[in-house]
Amino acid sequence: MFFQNKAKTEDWLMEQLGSSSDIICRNIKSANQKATIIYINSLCDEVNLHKEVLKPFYEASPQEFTNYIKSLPNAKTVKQKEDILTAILQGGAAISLNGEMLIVEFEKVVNNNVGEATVETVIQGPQNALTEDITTNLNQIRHRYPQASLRIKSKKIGRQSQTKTMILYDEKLASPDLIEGIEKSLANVDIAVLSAAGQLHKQLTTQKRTLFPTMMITERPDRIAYNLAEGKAVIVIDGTPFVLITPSVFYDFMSSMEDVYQSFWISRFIVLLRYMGLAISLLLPAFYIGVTAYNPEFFRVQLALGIAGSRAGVPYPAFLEVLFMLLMMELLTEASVRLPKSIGSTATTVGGLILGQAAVEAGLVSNVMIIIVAAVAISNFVIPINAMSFAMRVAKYILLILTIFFGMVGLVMGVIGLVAYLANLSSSGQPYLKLFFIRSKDSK
Amino acid sequence: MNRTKRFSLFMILIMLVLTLTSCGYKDIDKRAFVVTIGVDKAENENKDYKVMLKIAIPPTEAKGAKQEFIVSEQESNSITDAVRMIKSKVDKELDFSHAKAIIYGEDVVNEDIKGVLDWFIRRRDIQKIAWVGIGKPNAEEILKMERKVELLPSNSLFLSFGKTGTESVYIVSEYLFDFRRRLTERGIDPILPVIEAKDQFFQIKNVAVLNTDKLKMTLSAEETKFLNIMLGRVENADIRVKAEANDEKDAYFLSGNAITVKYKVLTNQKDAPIIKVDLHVDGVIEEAMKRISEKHLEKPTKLAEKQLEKKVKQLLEKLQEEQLDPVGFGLKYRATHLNEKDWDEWKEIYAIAEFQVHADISIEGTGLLK
Repeated sequence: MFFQNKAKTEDWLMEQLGSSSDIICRNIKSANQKATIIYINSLCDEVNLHKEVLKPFYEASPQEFTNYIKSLPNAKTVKQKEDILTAILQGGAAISLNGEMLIVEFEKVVNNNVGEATVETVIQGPQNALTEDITTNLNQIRHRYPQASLRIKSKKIGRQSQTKTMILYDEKLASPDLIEGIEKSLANVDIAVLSAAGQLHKQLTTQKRTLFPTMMITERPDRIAYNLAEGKAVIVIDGTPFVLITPSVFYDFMSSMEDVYQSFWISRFIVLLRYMGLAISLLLPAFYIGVTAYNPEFFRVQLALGIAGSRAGVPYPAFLEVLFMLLMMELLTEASVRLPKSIGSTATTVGGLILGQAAVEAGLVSNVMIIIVAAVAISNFVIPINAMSFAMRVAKYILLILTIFFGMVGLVMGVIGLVAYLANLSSSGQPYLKLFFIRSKDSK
Repeated sequence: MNRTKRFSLFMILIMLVLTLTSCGYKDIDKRAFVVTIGVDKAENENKDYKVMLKIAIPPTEAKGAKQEFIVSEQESNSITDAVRMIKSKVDKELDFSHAKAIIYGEDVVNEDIKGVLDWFIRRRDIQKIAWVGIGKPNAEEILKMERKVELLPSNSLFLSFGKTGTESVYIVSEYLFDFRRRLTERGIDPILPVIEAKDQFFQIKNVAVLNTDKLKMTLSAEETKFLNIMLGRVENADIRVKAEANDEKDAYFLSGNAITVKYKVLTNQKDAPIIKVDLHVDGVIEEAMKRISEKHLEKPTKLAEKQLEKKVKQLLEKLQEEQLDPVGFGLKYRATHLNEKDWDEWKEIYAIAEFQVHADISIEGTGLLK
């Protein structure tokens, strides 16, 4: 009966896997025992398989070999045939031995080279980013956070991708409610293929349409360690160098790891600079429209006349001019993201320099407008976390449109509305506009 | 279904709101910036005023542009009507948000000031921090003057007032709001600087003192300086000291800094009311006609104190004679005496009040090294 069952499982597995060239099903026989091994050679580390399974097979007695295999750290007994299939698909080798199915994991990882951080760079700080392999990432995180209380909970997400996802937290610092909440929301995720952190973030938010990120997406192991020490939870996803950190409030998105590494006043200055950049990129276009078209008394007389003079030849009203130039700038930013790195600089030169210059000379836009658009574009990049800088790029249009129709009052109302909206948001139970992340006292 | 319904309702509401924004949006290049407003007596006998608006023409080139402006004028019985008529003459929307100077012609101020002030106070687009002044011989001369030092029209006028540019002791800067306050408040009288048109420039060295409706007297440059000191508007002023009290020759000039003025109204039932003025001046000698030794400064100090006391007293008595009170002694009295009839009381007191001026000068140095 056992034999029948075994044969059935093997057949079922082979049937499921089909006839692909990288699927290996091998019957091996020694003097006193025989076994069947099924694995996928593109996923499986064959050198280790030979060393740890095939060689002992011919050297040990049947009883010894079974015990040996079972005692391997990467071996496990699996009952359900669906689980066996999943294990094979993730680089495991299924060994059927005396009617028992054993899984030994020999996962072969190709993309585990540690590279430099490219999205969130700091000048003098750790330079390396996470990799696309979860084990390497865990290795990096464990290195930076060598605490016994670090807990890792594993889960597979994605109906088809079965992506390994892990929740990391410090048991002593993170509140149990937080972890429970994350586990609950992870269980509700229904998605076919999971391959990026942002994708999971979208699935984890309760609202369908959101603008502002409520979970931090980062590639920096030092930031992960820093946040773990603050009692936050980190969601690591296999196959992407980015992780999610939750709860993350607005202030976190405006901070860079550089703030921690620099001396007190320097870091305060940088943070202040960043908020000023945020204000400029968010408000400047709207403010320009509001002041020039509704309240020119706001300017000094010199500036008012200067702007009026530079706008003298511009055929369209100021709001069309602003929208036109902002659109050009967005296109430029978007194009340089999508373009290969080697052509990227050409796009910025052509777009930024030549187009800007020509637009002024053709009398389509005023000089002042170019300054404003450039200031907006530059200051937008000051926001350290990309997701937030994207959100602000969108938010400025809302303020701009409100100002076009309602003047300075519209701008003020828009800002109030924006603050109200942000205050209404929450990240894993933490108010979004909370300025200081204070560890909850009742957590162990 | 419900969702689309809600969405369409939302859109309709937004569109309705859009209709409410009728005339707000006006591009900056479609506005004609009025930088100075002038009011003169009309040349036509049937009309009361000649209203002039100095409209700046924005420079199209940022560098090396020369100032350009037009002065649009209209004679009418009211400023409102005149401005309406001027509006029909210019192609752009008049914008008063940068009208930072208002010049009244001498003739207008000599007759009645209240009539020409009302419009400026009521219009919300006239900035209440605009400078007010009297144009001599008339406002037109000042408005049409093209000063070589200006890059922007009327800029030198703006720079002259409020210590933005020059810090002259002879310039009494007067804001529109303060002018109106002085005009309506009992116990303090309005003052206006007199802007005198010369050939290529203008000079502001005198101040005109008004009562509640028209110009009463114009002070000399020297008196203007002391009034400025009394008002506490200048901290640095030069004080001319003569060798003898009646001597024509100057002994030395004191460059006073940190000048402080305190005054008190003392009303004792027995004695005549006294207005006590205390002046304190720290200064160094700026120019001496005769050698003054560092060791013997008491005598020159005494000399300066006496002469300063005398000059201030003369000025105050001159104002008192005309029942004028630009310093605001009356306001001080009214502020410290809670009484329904305080104003009537004050009028009696001021007529007979005696000034006691005390100057305290300390000469900190001769300005020279030993």
